Amino acid sequence: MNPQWKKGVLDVVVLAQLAKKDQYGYELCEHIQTQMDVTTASLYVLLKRFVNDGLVTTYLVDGGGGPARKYYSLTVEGKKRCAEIMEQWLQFVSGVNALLK
Amino acid sequence: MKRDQFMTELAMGVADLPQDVARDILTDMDEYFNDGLNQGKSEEAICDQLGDVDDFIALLHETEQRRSSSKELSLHTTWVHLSVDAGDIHVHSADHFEIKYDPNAYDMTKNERDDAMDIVLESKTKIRGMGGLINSFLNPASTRIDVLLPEDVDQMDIHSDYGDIEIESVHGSTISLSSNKGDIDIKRCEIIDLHVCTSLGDIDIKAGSIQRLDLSTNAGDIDIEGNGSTISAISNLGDIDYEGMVETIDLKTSKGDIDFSGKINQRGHIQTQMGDIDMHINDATIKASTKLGDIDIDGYFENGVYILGDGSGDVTVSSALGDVTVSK
Repeated sequence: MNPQWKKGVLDVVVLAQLAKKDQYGYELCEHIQTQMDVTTASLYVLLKRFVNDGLVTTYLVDGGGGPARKYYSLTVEGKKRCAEIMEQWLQFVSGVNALLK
Repeated sequence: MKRDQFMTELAMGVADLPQDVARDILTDMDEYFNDGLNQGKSEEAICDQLGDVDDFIALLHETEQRRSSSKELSLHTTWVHLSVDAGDIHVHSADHFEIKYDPNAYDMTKNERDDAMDIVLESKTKIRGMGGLINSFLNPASTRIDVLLPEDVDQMDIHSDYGDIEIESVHGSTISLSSNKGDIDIKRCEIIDLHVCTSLGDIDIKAGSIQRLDLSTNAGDIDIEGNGSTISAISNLGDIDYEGMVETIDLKTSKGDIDFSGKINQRGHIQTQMGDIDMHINDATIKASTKLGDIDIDGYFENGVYILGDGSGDVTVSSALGDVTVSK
């Protein structure tokens, strides 16, 4: 996949995944990596940026005997941003599709 | 690459980041490895998915740099201390932070600490104190200082030795205003915590809402119009006027009169040594005392207290030498 495209869509992909449900790091990365060729490192850094920007928050869940797992969850602002950016993306894709036909 | 090697290189690469940030990264990656191994993946496969460790370290540094620089920007403007030796300060809300002053009249020193900004304006007049005061009479335009305050500055201390302070339409969380000789005027402000202190000046608050209000003046009058949750106003020589609705209120003066008009939802203490107290209130349970004055309360007396309306709100009213008058 064209690396420039990937960079642009990663934001919307990660936010949209978290809009479905709260997820822990491995789970989220696996979901995305089954569809896209992207490193865990770049996804992790993106999550960190979202946390720093207040779009995503984290909480720990007891791992049932094992160590606790960190879950990522959209904040109110994150949900707002996700809706905005998803709409932009869908508009963009339908525009591109119309031009490709 | 194996897990140990990846983690060791990562740990070394992030060692120069703040300790809590570095620890967080290593814990998250440990969790990631554990989850992958539990899913039956090999350490090599997990490392492949993670990507190049040096790229990862570079990305983490970039992210941390972005975080700390944005933190710096916002924090630098959240707490402002402004001190002026002589001059009138006008504070207004705006979309950016700015202090406007006449550079011919003042020298400015600005000090930025990690979470705050200290600004000191010093009159160029050689004689301090009264010199500044005379200067402000001779040339009133040059000693006006305007502070433009954006909404993200939510902690502010403002002090003027000689001069008035006026703040208008400001929204903030914690604001302290103090002056030695000047009056302090607050108009249409929405503030959570407001502390106002002047030695010789009057304090005037109009049309706004302040949750916790703490006022004191030695010689001036206090005039408050507006609602609040907790209000405390103390004057030594001046009168106190209050009009509005409040949860708890303390009004105290030694020599002055107190006028109250409005509603007290929970508790009130109204006290003067030498002045008269005049209250207009619909509902209250009032305990009143005076040593030498008269008590005239428009309510029915029962068990040592006067009940007005539904009796909600406990109010203690006392004057040593003055009269106490309460009516609806």
